Amino acid sequence: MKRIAPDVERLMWLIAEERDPRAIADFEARFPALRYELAKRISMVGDLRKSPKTPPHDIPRFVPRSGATMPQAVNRSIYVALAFVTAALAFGTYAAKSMLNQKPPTLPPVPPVNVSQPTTGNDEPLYTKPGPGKATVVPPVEDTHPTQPPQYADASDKNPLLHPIFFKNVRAPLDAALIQICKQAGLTYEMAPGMPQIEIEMNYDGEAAGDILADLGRRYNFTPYPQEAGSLLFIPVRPDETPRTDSTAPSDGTVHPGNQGAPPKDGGVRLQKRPDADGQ
Amino acid sequence: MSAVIDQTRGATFDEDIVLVERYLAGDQDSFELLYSKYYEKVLAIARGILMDPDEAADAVQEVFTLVYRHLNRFDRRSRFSTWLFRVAVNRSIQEARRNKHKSRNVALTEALVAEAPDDSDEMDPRVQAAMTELAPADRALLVLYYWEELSLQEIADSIGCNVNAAKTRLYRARERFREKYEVAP
Repeated sequence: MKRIAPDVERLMWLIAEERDPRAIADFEARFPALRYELAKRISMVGDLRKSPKTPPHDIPRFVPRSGATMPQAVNRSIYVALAFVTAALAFGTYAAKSMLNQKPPTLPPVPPVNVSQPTTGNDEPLYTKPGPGKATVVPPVEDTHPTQPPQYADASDKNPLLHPIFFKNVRAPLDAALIQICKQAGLTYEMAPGMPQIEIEMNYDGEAAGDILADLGRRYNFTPYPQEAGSLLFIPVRPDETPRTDSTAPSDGTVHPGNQGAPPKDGGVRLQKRPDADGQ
Repeated sequence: MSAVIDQTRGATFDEDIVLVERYLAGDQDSFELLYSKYYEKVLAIARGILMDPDEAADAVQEVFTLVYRHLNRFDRRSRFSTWLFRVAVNRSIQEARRNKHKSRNVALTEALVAEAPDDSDEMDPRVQAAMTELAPADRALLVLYYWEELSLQEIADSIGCNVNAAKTRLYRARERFREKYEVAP
């Protein structure tokens, strides 16, 4: 069906509601094709106007009900609630967005550092950037750090014989005591056969391991002979000789310092060398 | 009833205001007079929107209960009748939307027609079918205009819009009604 223009449609509704015979005739003369459409609208409006007549009946007595609320008030409260929800959502979105967009904390600007050019005596540049027509000048290399043996803060870190040993009122078999002392000082050891099997008493408070071993050798008749670096050999004293002490030590450099004498100048402890250790 | 409406339309002085003032001053009989005067009018609006006599009668009681409780909110800028119709239209539309989910309208209307064949308010079946298909807001406009014969200004006041908006809404509602009416059996 051909679509009717809106203004013609409005005119048809107007005529259908007015039901003026002259207006109907004029419309039909002007728009003969729409005669049927106009008739349909007149019929429809006529049917629609036949409002259902309320049958006469007694009006019920009015009794106010409970729980009725004004529709407007309901609508208003809904709008208020919606406004709150919208505002909360907007604030949440804003807060989240601003938190995500927050810039990382900036560090204060670093002041420029003036690095002074090291100069030689004749003020020649140490290094010149090579370029056309320029010779490369290589600075003379000076050994500013001559090779020196490393200095250690504590000599005991290097020499196990200087390692302090702590034995307070300890009673133990001699061989077990020697083993413990060597272990604590980081010494390796060997024991010759015939070492006295006795129980000894020790009371040392931080003395050097070499001193302690020398002291024990004097007291219990054995001699600790140094072998290689950090290695000792314990040899019992024969019955016909006495253990070497400061008083009996030969003057060829054997020193028994310990708690009975002054330590050597280099801070170390020198034990008596075994006569056959170096083939002598 | 139409005489009352004509009087309401034409008069510049709203005689209902006197009854309203009396009621607000404590005269309960004044409200009974207002109730009796507008009961059928409000019932017709509710019936046109709800398409069910029982629900309409129920809605009328709720409408007058609202008016009874909140008459002090009537600001007197419009006629009392217009304010009352507005409450009736809003409440009926609200009720119709609520009842729409129950899907009872057609069945109940058909059952009631079958139960009361002698009822003089029998509606044209095609009109009834088309009206039932319409949205409650569209039904309200057609009822106010064709059944209650309110002017466009009164309709505008009753649905809370200006005259032009009321005219446009009425036109659209009528077009939608025609679409349903022409395909109705």
